[in-house]
Amino acid sequence: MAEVRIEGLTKYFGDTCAVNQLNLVVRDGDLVVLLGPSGCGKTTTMRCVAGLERPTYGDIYIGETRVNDLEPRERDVALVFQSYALYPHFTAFDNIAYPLRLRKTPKDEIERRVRDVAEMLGITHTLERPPGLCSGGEQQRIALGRAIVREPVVFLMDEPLSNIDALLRVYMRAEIKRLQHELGTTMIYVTHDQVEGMTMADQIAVMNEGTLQQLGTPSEIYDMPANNFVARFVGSTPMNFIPGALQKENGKTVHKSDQFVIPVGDEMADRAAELCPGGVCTLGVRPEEIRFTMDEEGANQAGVFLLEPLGSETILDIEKEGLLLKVKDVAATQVREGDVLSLSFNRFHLFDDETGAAIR
Amino acid sequence: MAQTEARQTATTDTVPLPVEMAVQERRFNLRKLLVVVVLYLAAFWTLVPMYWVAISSIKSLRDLAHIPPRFFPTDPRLDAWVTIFERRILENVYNSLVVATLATIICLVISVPAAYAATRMRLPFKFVAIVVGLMGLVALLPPIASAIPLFLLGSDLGIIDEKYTLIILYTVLNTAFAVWVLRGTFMDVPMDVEEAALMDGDTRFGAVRRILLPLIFPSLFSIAILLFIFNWNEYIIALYFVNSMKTMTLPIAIQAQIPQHELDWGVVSAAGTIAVFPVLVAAFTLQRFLVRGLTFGVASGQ
Amino acid sequence: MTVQQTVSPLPGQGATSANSVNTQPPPPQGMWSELFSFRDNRLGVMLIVPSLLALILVQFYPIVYNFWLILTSEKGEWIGLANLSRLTRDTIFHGALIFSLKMGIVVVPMCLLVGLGLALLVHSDYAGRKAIWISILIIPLMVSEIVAGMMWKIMYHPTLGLVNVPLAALGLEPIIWLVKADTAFIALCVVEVWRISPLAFLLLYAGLNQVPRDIYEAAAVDGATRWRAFWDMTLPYIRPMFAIATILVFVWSTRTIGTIAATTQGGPGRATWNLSWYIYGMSFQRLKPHYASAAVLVMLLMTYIAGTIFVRYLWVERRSR
Ligand SMILES: Nc1ncnc2c1ncn2[C@@H]1O[C@H](COP(=O)(O)OP(=O)(O)OP(=O)(O)O)[C@@H](O)[C@H]1O
Ligand SMILES: [Mg+2]
Repeated sequence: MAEVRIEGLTKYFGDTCAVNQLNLVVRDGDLVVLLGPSGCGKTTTMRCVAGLERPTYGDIYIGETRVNDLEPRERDVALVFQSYALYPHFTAFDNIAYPLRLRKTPKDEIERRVRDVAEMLGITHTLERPPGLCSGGEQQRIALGRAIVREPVVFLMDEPLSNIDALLRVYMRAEIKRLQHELGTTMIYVTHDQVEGMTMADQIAVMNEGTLQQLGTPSEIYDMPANNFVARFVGSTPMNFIPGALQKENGKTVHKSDQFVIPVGDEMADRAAELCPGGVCTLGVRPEEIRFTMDEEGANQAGVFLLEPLGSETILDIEKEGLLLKVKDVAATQVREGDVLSLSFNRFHLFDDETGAAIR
Repeated sequence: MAQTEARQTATTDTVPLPVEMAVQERRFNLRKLLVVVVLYLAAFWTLVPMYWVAISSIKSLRDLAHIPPRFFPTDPRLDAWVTIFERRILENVYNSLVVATLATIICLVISVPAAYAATRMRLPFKFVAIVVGLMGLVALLPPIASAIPLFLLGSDLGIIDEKYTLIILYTVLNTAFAVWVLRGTFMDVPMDVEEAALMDGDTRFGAVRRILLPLIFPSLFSIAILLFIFNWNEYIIALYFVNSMKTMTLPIAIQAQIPQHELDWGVVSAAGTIAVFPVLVAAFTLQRFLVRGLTFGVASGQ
Repeated sequence: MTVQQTVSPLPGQGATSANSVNTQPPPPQGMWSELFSFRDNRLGVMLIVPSLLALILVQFYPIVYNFWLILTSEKGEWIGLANLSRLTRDTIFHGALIFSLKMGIVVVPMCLLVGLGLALLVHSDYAGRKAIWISILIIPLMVSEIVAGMMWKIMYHPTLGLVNVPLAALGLEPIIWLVKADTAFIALCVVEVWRISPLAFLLLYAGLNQVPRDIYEAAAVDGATRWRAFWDMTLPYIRPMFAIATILVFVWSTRTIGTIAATTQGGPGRATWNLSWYIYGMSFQRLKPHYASAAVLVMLLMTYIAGTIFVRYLWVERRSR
């Protein structure tokens, strides 16, 4: 049980910079989800913590120990590989038992623990087979089993559920979370599935091109994105962006774009004047934060050109002068294609165009 | 690649392309007949010199003198074989065996760690590129190019005509090739499997012994056979470094038997048969390994 | 819970990627310092050192020593480029060089043709037990040069040999193959094709196996004939392997010596001296190692050119994959 501290981690492969000055503290017993687009350095970060890659710069601490110079074996970390990396010449049972055997665990205890883990993962029927004869999802669960069968100081899981069907995945993520909670073991977890990330994480770390963009609780990440990248990346229906500039109109600050004029609250206007003196900034608003009425008279009018029914809710695709907005209609109103709506913007964020940082 | 090759060899026998099945039904006999006939001809062309040598070694003098030559001996004799054993061919076989076996083993002991380091240890990419590139280039050098300097060096040191000299030379002459080939083999085993072992708490050596070695053993074995055959057949270096019966390997012994007298051909045929015999046995009992090893050997790194 | 723990060690860093490029620390410089500053790098280097030593002893030392040999006379006196200039006037050497090249020109295409043909046959669905065919067809690769030469010497023998039997059956005079220059050349080419074409076969067969099967299916669905599919799919796929095979066959054919030693011994006259035989004869039989080294240089140059192409193909090809 230990805290993981990554300080200024930089990793070069030749001339490509895979991770760039990453600072990240994972508190003891926390589950941190790494979120980011493909190739942003998530796996590389994990491998550095695991000891499989040597950082080009920076330090990694597990607990109070600086582990840079320790062998993977000496770090007592369990890693679930994105590629599974199962031992092809062992059976599934031997795969899972291998870490226990290395630790000279008594035979009957190995037997018991492997069976328990297999039970939990639903792979008891594959135990006598080599991994080559198991399905992709089963292989992935064997890989998972090999990591959780022992009790390491830190769990590192690189997309451990990517190849498992949707139903089982919902069950498995709850199991992993429960296990992590019971053992109280620190865990870093990589996923591409936002729902998985949101539901499991104590903290989410969003990365892009090797840099950490934001670290925060799921709700912080969702509600207070630090910059336009986080805002765009997080959320199953992406945030709407309206480029424009801040202006004074009748003594009030408004965000004025080609399409809309949106009043900005006083407090935010003050911050903006301070942080973004030029006033050129993009307004970002989540689909569910746009309110609309079927009123032909109001301000900020736009036409609906497509409905995307999702069952519980409907996404309205709204277009005005080349700008596309997605609006979530939770209340199942009777909007039809071609209707003209009048929009109001409930909660929104402003992002400095130059730096991309949120103005707050 | 070797693995896919083996697998395809296994599967394509029984599973024809779906597209081709229609064709096969229509013109099955003619096409198949043609292919098989040509293959038999090729096999004949490949094997006939060997057959000819083998039967020449047991032909009687009368058969040898017969014109036109007989395809089957009428009166088989073992005279030539008796003669060749009297000329102590077994000592040459022994020399060849000792030299080839030891050189193969030592060569592997040197080159396996190098190939491991080149593929597994995350050395700087440029360094590995230079080392491996050099090895590939050097593996192509004709042995005769090094023969003269090495011979002069050997003369200065007074180690010409010693078995251990041959062993050392065969070892080092094959090292570049072996590293180059082994590197290709190692690259076929994904590295993350070993990394998984490290994560599970194994030492580097333990991961090599328990994970890597079992996985590459077939390839390693085939490369060992290949090296052995190279050493068994080696001729040019031996030409320079063998002076007496003490070190004479089989190829040199065979050259020495090539007859002065017209009708002495039975003896050299017997010697040739002895030299080819282990190779043939290897070819058939170790089929799978050998094809893989040779393919690796000549097209390594694929 | 800490609130809003945005970590940005440098200004502008928590922002868009375009900006963060400027704040990257520099990539590590210097291979050598990296090589020796880590424990497991040092271990890695130590594992490589023995084979590097072997390389230096048997390959680089001789090459360097060769230059010294070339530049000195047989008595060890410095004579500059005299050995090389003598070589350019040496008609025996010219003959040997031309013989090697001539042999290459005949043997390389023949081997490739035979090899490709056999590879296609064995690869086709009509060949039964592929593994057996392969192990028969590659046997010549495993036969020692000298033994191969010896076998064929018997095959060509005017009375013992098999080669003249079909000629006799046609009523032709038996040919005494190895005693006339032009028939000896043909005879040696045949031996070389017998000995080396399995190499081309093996490489090209391996190449064919790398062609994914489904592209044939796709091509057939697209309406390509077998012949078209061969031209458009198979050939481009095996092109790199074809290049490798060409180079290796060439290298093998130039270093031939045992075949000649067993069959013609360079004769009749000096009609079948090739480069290797010349080097051997000059250094070992005429005891002029210094002069022979000049010929070694020519051979090295030839191999170097072929080798560079070879490494390019294998090494660069792999990296780009
Ligand atoms: N061994 C390596 N050699 C060279 N470049 C590498 C290596 N490993 C990773 N990279 C590069 O580093 C960058 C980060 O890779 P990484 O595997 O960490 O991404 P990731 O975030 O895990 O992506 P994904 O979500 O697709 O798994 C990529 O651009 C990748 O090409
Ligand atoms: Mg990854």
